[in-house]
Amino acid sequence: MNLVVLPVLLPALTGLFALLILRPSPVRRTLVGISGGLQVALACTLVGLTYTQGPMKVELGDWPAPFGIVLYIDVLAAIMIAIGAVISWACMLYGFFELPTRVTHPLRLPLVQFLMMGINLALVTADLFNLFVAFEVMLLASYALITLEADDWNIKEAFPYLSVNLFSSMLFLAGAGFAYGMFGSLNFADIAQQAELMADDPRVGALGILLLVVFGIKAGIFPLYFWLPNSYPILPAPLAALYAGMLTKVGVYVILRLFGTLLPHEFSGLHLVVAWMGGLTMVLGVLGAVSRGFIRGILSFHILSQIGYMILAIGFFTPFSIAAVIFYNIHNNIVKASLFLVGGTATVLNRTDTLARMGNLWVATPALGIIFLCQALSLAGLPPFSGFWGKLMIVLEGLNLGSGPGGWQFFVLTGLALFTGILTLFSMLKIWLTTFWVRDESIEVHREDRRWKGMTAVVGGMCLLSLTIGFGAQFFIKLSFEASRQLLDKAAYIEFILGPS
Amino acid sequence: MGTALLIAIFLPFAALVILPLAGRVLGPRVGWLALVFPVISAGIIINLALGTESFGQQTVAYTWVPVLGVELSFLVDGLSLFYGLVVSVMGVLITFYAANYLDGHYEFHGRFYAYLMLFMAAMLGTVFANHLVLLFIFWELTGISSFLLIGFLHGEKKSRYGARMALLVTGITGLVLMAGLLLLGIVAGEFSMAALLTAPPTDVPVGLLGGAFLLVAIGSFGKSAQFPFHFWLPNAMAAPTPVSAYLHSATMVKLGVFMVARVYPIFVDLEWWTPLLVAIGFLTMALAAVLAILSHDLKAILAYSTVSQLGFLIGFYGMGGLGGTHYDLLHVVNHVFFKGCLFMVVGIVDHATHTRDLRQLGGLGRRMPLLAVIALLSAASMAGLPGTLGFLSKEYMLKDAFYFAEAGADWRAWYPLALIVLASVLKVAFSIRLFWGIFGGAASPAVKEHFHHPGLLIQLPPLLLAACCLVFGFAPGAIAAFSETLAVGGLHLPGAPEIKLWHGVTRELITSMAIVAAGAVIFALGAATAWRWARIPLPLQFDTGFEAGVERLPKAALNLSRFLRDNKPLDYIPVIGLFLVVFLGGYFAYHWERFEVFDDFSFQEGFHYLRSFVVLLILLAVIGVVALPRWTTQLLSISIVGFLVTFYFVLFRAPDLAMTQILVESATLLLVLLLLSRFPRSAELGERRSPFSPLRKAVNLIVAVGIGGCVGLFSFLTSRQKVDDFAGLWFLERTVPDAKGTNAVNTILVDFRGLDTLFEIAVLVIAVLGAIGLLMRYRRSRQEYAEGALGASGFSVKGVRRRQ
Amino acid sequence: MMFETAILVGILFGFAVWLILQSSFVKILFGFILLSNAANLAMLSSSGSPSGRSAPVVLDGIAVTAMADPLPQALVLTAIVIGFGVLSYLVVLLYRIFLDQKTTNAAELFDESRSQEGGPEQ
Repeated sequence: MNLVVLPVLLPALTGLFALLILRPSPVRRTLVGISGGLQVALACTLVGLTYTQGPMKVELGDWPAPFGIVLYIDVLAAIMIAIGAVISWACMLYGFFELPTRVTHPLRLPLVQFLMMGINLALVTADLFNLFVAFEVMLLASYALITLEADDWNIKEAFPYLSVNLFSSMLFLAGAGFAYGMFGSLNFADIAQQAELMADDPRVGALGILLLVVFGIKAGIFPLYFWLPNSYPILPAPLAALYAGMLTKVGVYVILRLFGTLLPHEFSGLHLVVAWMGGLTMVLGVLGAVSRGFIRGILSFHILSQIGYMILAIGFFTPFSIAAVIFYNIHNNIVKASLFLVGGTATVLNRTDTLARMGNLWVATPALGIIFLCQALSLAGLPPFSGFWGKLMIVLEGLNLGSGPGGWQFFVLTGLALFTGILTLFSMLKIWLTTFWVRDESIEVHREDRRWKGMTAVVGGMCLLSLTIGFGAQFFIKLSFEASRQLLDKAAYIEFILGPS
Repeated sequence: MGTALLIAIFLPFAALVILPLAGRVLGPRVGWLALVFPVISAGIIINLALGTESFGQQTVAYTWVPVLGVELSFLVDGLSLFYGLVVSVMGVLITFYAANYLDGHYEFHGRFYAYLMLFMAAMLGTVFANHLVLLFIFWELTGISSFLLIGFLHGEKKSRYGARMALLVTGITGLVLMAGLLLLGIVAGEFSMAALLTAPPTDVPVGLLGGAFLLVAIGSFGKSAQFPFHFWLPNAMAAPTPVSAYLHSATMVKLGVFMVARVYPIFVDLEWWTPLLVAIGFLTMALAAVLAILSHDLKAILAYSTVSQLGFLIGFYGMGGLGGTHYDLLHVVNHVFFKGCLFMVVGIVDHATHTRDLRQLGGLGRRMPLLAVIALLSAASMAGLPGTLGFLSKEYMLKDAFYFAEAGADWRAWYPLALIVLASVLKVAFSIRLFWGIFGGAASPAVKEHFHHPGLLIQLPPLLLAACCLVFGFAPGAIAAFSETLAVGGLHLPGAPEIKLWHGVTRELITSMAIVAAGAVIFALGAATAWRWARIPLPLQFDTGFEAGVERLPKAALNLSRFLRDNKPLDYIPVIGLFLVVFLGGYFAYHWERFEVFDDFSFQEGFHYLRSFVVLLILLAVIGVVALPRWTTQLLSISIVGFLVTFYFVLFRAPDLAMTQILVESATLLLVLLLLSRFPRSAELGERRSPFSPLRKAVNLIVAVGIGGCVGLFSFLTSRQKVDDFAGLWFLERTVPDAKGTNAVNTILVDFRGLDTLFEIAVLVIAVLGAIGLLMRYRRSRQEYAEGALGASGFSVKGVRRRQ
Repeated sequence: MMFETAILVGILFGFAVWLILQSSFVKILFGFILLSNAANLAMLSSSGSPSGRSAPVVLDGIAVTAMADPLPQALVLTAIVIGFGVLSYLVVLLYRIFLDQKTTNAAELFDESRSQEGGPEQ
């Protein structure tokens, strides 16, 4: 049994199992929960293996590399799988506390597992068309989940979500076709090799742009992101956390692959465009967050501004900045997801998530407050929390590039990144000052609804994890550097997949 | 040394866990437990200071994040020890004071002391930090703990907003500082403060170094509440008084001053150093003094006077390039003594009378004689009356300013002196007012009504500080010796500074006397008019402006986000499409020549007659979809398109595709037909009127034509010449021998690329599940889901409002 | 040299996008059906000109080089089925929205004046 297929296989089997049992029951929960734990363990093993022994691959059906489908895991993919596993597990456990078995939707568990299956396939595949298929699996599961528990008012938000993603999928399909037409192959390594040879061919750049737009829609880059912040809020809290943590980050991952693996590294003009798109995403995303008056809305817009940071660093396109992206991704997924979960818990306690009607929580539930504070400050990039290191790395690299000749643009972009940080802080303060600090006797806190305890415990675990990332940054940054090195070492990638030429 | 220092800095962090828990049991008495932490830290740092020697510099380093070169490294030299002493010893006094101050009227004592200890630890970390990143980390931690402390009484709006303002202002400038420190590190290639101090970067681009200085200076201005960031400090006074005494006068706000002193050897040679610091520093000094005289709230007066003093210190270092920075410790220590003391006094007064408004106070001298003496001493020191430490400070302040003025080239060099004199006059005036307003005259009604006597213990810390003002005022040699021991290379000159009580009748002494006289006159004028004119004019109310801006920001952001149309789902795809058209189309247009689109084009080769005919038919059918009025006719056209595409597949030598297409097309049509049969006819009729504006129609057209053009062009570019070596050939060769099938398409699907097919099936399964989820409402009537078995769940709490 | 296929792809994409940008559900649905076809054809166009080639069924006597490229065909086949899955989901979603919101028009669905009654609290 090859370890590489397990990240796809395990959720698939779990999902099927949950589908077969169908009726929600404690037994089903336990078994799926155990599987979630196994997935985390597996992902951590994969990170360890790829870090110490280099990337792994499997040629499905033993068909040789550029022809059959190859699954490939390097440190980057393993890290993403691990984050996904952790988040989906946490969200699942949170969901168990949130809803008793009686009212759980029977399809939620299987669909989440199928979603993870699609995400993991997208992470490990080294084949452009297979990536399209993986995206479709992932997206259909996400369509299904977004509509699954939507009420008759919210259901309409699923429509733009579906149509935008369908639109981008079709562009992706066409793009995959164009790639095949140009390179005669769909295998990443083969495309990378051919693209190097065709670096003078303007069509390569055009393909890069088309795919950037397609993946940019998934990741939520300005001006392609509008669909995102209005559709995520209709999800129940744990699913919103999962989407926020993982779904958009797959887009970032694929953009990393696009620029790191597929396209020639010399596209500095395109990289600069990407950096500016990232910069604008950052600022406009956070302004959107500032403008919203309810927790889900604020957090949904924050997804974008954080994506902006990552895209900005991808645009810097140095080994250091790519490592920064990867570290930022690790930190941000955890923090983002747990903020959504904190928001969900606060909503349960206050029976609303409209800031104007929330309050009293710092007195009623200090534990939740501490968790929120840690994660919010981390999101804003304040030390010593995990977000600080990510921002530090990005700012360092921005200043580094800016100090070079003609680097004023990088100074501007770095300035934007810092400005975004302060607006992030501001919007987090908006939540903190009302939800936690307002003391008003007319605002009820439903502490008797004991679900919040278990929910808070799960988020507390995630908060610990994020604190670990902050204080043990050494380990995670080192991991990111190795991931960045493996991602950018194209020759080794090609040789590893295609064999020595 | 290393371990001891680590304990001094990091032990207070343990309070974060211990004190809140202990607070639940001990209540107000937890303050006495909290006292343990500053006592330990102070003991260690005093011990370190005793062992230090002049111009000594030691570092201790532990690894932390070596991959980024960040280490837990600490620098022990005169400056850090000095501030370490201030922080930890004041920490002891303040905690002692707070343990008396925060009585049973307050809640959450454990939290309070936990924040306070967090702050102390962060401060100690900041002053001792050696690595630039570590310095910033602790720097921001002080801001966070200050935020929590200011907002401690968070039930009150004032506290919340003051806390937010403080965090935002120090946060913005903190980030600027971060950029400055990092830029410094990058430019100098060195992130260790000790190394930067011993060998200041030379031979680096002046522009970048100057940029780093500017950023660091802005960061310092923010923390030290310098113009134009001065407004946050008075608003931070919403914190309980021990906090104001500790953070907002004695320690945290001095961080900017500390930072300027710290980077002095690195940047002092820059052209900008003196102009920038002198201009901002003395401007702040004078402005804040004016604001102080215009205020009535005791804490506001003290806050502005703090800002004023900080402005002086910044300006002092700015002048330092000429006059030497021999007396900085004197000035700082003087301020710590009298301002800490005055804050504590004000706290006691507030506690005893429940008001801080000078207009409602008076006549407390007879009721609290000890406190009156304490206040007298410290106010005298603030005013700079002879016999106090403040007098000495002012003498040397004037001396440096005179020196600077004389050494300067033109009239601008007199700027510091003029503003110092102005600020000092006002300071004398409000010092007298402060003392007299509280203790002098007859008891006011408010006092009579509320007064209760403060305990003796709470008066102990201010008494100690007031005594220091007096003792050191008469024994300046101690300060001189102190300054010599804690001298720092690059900042201070060797040898003990000469601090004498009596120099004879000098111009400084005469000026000083004149200042006192003028101050007394202003006080007399003010008292005569009952200070009715004292009101801060609107243009100087920066805090009101800031708050209004902050309050308006969400609205402005909302307008921006509306402008970007992110609340119009109908516009999402047009925006995306427009971007794609501009980006990709622009790329095609820009590189048009390089694509050689029409090279070797020939009509005969370019168009295949039968396929071209089918294309023509498809075009007609598609036009039918757009143009025909009825759904049924449109559907018919769509199906014609589908079947023509099938035929096109046949022409493309793809029989399997054609077969699948027919099947799928039929199934799709059936589904659509079912859907249409459910839709009411009125809807169909209503569709004839387009809801779109002409602009939107134009955008639609551009996007549709643009995307069609781009994709079509792209398709042409990639397909006009088949690459020689494509994967398909391999499949054709291997299909019979390896996969045992003649139809290569089938073998690819089921064998070579079986995974695609597997997941294609997964897509269908999930689509079915999704459809089931959509149509079978599982316990999902609106009310039912909203309330659930146990009440609302997660974010889906709609309907609760409507039920009420 | 396949000018007409490129034109076909362009036409289908253009009209499909035009339809998708309309507000009627039915038009949008038709748009996506067309778009799916268009994308499939774009993918298929990468197999090169079929002129003078035979279907990719390996029979004796036909050189491998004289056959159409089978890979795009296989991919399109997968894509057709996936497209069907997504489209049918879209059909059901539109039906559900029609049931819940009593409208068949996106402009009406997202009309802000509607959100006054019974809208989400914000």
